[in-house]
Amino acid sequence: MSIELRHISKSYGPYQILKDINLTIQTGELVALLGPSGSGKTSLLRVLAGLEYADEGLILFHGEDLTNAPIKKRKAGFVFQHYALFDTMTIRDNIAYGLNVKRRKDRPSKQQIRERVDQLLHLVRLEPYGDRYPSQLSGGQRQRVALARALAIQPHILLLDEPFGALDAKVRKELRQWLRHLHQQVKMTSLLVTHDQEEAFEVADRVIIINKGQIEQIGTPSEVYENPVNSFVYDFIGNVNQVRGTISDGLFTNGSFRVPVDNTEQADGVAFIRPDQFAIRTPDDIQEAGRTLAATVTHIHPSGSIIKLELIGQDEDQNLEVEVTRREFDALALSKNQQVFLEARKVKVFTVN
Amino acid sequence: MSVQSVKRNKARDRQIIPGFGLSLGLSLSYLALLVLIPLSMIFIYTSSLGWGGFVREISQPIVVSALRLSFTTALIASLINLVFGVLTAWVLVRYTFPGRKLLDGLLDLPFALPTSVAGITLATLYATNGWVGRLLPFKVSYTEVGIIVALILIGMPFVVRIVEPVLQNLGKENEEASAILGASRFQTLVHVIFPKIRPAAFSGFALAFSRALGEYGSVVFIAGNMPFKTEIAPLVIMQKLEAFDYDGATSIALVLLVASFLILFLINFSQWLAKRKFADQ
Ligand SMILES: Nc1ncnc2c1ncn2[C@@H]1O[C@H](COP(=O)(O)OP(=O)(O)OP(=O)(O)O)[C@@H](O)[C@H]1O
Ligand SMILES: [Mg+2]
Repeated sequence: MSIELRHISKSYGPYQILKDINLTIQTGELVALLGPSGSGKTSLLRVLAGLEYADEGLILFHGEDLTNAPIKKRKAGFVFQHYALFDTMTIRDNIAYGLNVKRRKDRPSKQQIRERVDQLLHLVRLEPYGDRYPSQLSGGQRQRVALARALAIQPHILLLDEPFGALDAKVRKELRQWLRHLHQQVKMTSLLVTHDQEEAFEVADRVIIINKGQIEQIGTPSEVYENPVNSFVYDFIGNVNQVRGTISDGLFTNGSFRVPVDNTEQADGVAFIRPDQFAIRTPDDIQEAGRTLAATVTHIHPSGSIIKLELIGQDEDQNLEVEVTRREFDALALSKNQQVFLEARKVKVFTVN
Repeated sequence: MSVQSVKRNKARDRQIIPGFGLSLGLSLSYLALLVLIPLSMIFIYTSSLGWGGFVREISQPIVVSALRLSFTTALIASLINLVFGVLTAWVLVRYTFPGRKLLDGLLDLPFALPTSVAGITLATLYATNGWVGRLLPFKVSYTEVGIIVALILIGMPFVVRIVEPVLQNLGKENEEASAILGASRFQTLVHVIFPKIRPAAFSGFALAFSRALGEYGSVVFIAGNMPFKTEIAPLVIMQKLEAFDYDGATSIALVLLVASFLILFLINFSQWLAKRKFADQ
């Protein structure tokens, strides 16, 4: 079942929280909706599920206009950020709920329901916990129950609102891989909300970057990472160094740091450079002086296979972050307070307005 | 963490209330003086009557009829309070309408109002020529209906006040989850919301019931107190005391006391059951 949104807008009083949202999710695709807190992710999901109605625009499920359809007709599975399990029911009853409330003529027999719940308990790997109550499970287990409950009614689309937001890093990682795996099995059209870019990139076929109710970019994880369309996305996706300067005559300039740009107009600009896109040079082997910044090492974080360096540029307020592999680091024999030259391999300049 | 610091933490845990020993001692003796000793006097006094004496006292026709009247009117009134209390709590929590705050405040009035004032007001309103009584096709004052009206009034806040916070904490997510899973509003109400408020509603009901059972001030004015018809048990106690019939008075008191105890026990037991099932949250 594909999902298509056309010109969706929504306001609460004077605040417009969704602005002209257009997007298409193909059948069987797992798409991540990524954005900072308050950007409208939950609101968009709620509009899709029918918990809230859009002020303008169209919602099409597989070409069928469901913009004003009631919740039930949309056949969406929804996983809430805080589980929203029914804590007066056992895990089995929670999972069976969507089947038990069906109208008699659509309702599977007791036996069928039991079998379906067994299957789902197996799927989420919680077979031994069926007769417990939600309060007797861990956060990660509850989240899996929530997922099983949503899947029980065989929804056409699956909407997940920061399903792993409340869990610790390790469990998140596990569940994330498990979800990817699960998605490969059931191949359900899914929209996953998250504000964790690592999670989005690891799990999703495509990511949608949203900010202040507006879509900034849609693309595969590598497209978005390699070619952010604007400074917001660049900044939001991963760590990035920002070097301020001026643009004139097709050249971005900050002291001796010069990068050609397409833009010929006079403007202020910011150069974005990822921490892993710096090569550390000694004065002798600088290759392109125009792409090089002088800096002093202030901190070394030697944890893991990647070494993080904090540096300070020639302007006192220019903080820089550089990542090098352990091998490079050992070869350079860097120490604190050492002066180095950072040569940027890849720079992206955006104008500031 | 070192062993020492673990120990220190434990000690701190135990002393959440400063001067725990002192405050416990004080509150226990306070409880004993004001509650336990007077109550146990009723037991001791009645036990001196012997089982036969006790049964004789409470099987007097006038006593039996008063007890029956007290129990049935209290039950009916608190059942009505249960239904309307839950409804009122729902309206107060879920809807905003002009005057909501005022209504919320007025709800505590039956707690604050001297019961005799409530009684006189009701008697005046519901008298056959009173403002309300005039409009009704049936008699209210001097009938069981009048007693029930008075008991509804004094018991009303219990259910509302106990259910209200539970509804407030319920949040909307559970209902939304239910709706997305395909449940109708009615199914959501029955399967999701009722089980959550049931323990609280039951507590409120039980408290309203035991309060109604012993209510005196607000009832006597509207009831008319006709023996065998509208004479409630607390009134019979009063009359027996005035006639220096302490045996009779304490015997009836004992019945009411045991009933109240039973109810309190049931409340706590049901709360405990509910807690054990779906504990923390
Ligand atoms: N019921 C409401 N009434 C008024 N404003 C609301 C309401 N719900 C959300 N908003 C506003 O809409 C904006 C988007 O909220 P939303 O919950 O969609 O953000 P989000 O992207 O899900 O954020 P988070 O990552 O923190 O969950 C916020 O600025 C929020 O304050
Ligand atoms: Mg949200």
